Amino acid sequence: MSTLVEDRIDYASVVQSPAFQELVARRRRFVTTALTIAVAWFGTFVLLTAYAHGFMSTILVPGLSVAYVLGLSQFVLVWVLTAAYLRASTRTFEPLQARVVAAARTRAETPR
Amino acid sequence: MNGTRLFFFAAVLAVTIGITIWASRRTNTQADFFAAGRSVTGRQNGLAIAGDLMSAATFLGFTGLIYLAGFDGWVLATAALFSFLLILMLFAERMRNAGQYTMADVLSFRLSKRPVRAAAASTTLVVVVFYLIAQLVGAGVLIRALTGLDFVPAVILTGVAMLAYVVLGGMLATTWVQIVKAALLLAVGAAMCVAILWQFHFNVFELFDTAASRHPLGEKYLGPGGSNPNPLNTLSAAVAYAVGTAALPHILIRFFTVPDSHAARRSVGWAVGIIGVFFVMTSIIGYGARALLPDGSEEATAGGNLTAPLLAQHLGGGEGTFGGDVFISLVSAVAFATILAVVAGLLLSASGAMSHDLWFNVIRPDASAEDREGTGVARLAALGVGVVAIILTIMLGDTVNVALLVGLALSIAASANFPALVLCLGWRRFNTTGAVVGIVGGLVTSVALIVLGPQVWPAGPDAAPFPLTFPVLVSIPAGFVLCWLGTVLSRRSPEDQNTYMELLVRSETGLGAEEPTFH
Repeated sequence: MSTLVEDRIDYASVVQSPAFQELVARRRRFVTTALTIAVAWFGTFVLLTAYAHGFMSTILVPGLSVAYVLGLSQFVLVWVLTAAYLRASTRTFEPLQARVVAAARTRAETPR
Repeated sequence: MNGTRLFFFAAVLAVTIGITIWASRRTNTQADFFAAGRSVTGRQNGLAIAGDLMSAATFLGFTGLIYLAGFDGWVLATAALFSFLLILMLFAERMRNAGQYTMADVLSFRLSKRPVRAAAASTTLVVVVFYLIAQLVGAGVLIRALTGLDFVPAVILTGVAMLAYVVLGGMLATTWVQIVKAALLLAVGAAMCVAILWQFHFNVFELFDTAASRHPLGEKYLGPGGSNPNPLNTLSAAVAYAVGTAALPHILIRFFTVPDSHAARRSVGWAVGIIGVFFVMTSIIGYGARALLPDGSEEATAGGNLTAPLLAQHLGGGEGTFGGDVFISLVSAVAFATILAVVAGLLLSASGAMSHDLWFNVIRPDASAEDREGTGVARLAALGVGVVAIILTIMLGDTVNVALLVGLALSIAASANFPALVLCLGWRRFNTTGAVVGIVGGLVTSVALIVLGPQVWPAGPDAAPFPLTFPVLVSIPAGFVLCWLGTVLSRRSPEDQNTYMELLVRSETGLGAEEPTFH
């Protein structure tokens, strides 16, 4: 039954619908921002690791180097951005997805 | 082999075979075989994904590298963790929504099915077989060092266990073997960290400071540059791990085992948490080995790979003591379990490329529905690929460079699979010609540059025409450019555009995605 309905969905009109446009735009904005921050921070870390051995080997307190602190900060970056994405998904993207799917199903079930 | 070690190795085999027998009774359809009936929860899948990354290469290899050279061993760990941001935000949900069993499903959704599938399945097989051989060589060398068993019987033992899990128990067995191993490895890693830190009053800085004072580099040991003087090599290795990990077929297929995109996302959340904790542990174990093992132990660690087991022996009381014997046996058996679990996942993804992609969609697209539902071809494909990988491993022998094979696999995944997947999900104009040119071109570029590079070039590393071990700084851009060139230089196909709408809707919303089956 459900597959029959899905066969009759007009995907071009779903793509045109405001809810879908909003979903794609919001998700794209979030992902672009998050990945830009991530690539910038990770890229800086890797460039410093490759080219600035002296700076990275600076000892902050005995036993703790700049390299280790910046390495750990990558872990924190991944954890924070992952958590932020999961939160945005639950709060923003999932309700929009549900709206798009419900509207598409209703339209496909209505006899033309 | 001594009794304690035999006992722990046998226990690992017994538990995993038990899981396989249980799973084999629940594996009846293709969706069971390749995707565990899509009934794995987000948390379970997160543990399994973490397990795929906590391989012998990361547990034994990274700890060894940190022990020998310091911080450089840890850069690759941060790169591998970083790749999960790419997986989460670019692939995880959209793969789950748009695909069925393999990465090629997503590519062939909107592009002409047979050529794209054939190209994607071929790179999957190349990546997986290189990775598989690397792990099997590692298994043979490791088991020989830990138990005294010869290389060839050790490879055969590992290979037969791998075949049993996959052929009999499919993805369900592969997933649960991975979950059990991940839990074991975390527990053993935590026990080692507590035992190490206990000697330093639970002060990590005191541990690191002691480690630095016992290394010839001194304080520089806590900074980068200990193993790799060429900055471009450091950069390319980091990029290979960061991008290549995100396109590894055996990790991406795990997103097909969960019921929906919500669970796919949650599994990445669990995975990054677990992997992060594990990589912090590897730094404590690696630096701990430097601080605690007697001077001149480098030789005994066999290139670093036996650092963690030797440290366990030392922590348990030293060689010849009961505690030392139990702890080294336990860590060795967990390392053995790690290899078994990872090779099983690799073989399963190769079997998907072979049977689902190549057989049912390229060679025999007219196969009956009954054949498609069954698991016969899939099991046969797993058996075939597994046996070939075992034979290749034995032919290559124990002298082949494991790091080279892993580098090759990661570079090909990053250069051939990654650009095509990103563009297929995000670029409206992308077409079949672009995908095939990009995938084949990325594969050829990375293999050619590796052959011209320092690890393979016959005249020696200094004479190699291409200076870098990992070709990704050149081959990833090449993959993207070739995808783009192939697309803009070929005729526009209206069909590709129509299915793009369907792929866009399905991947973004889950409308029409594969439903879970329950038993």
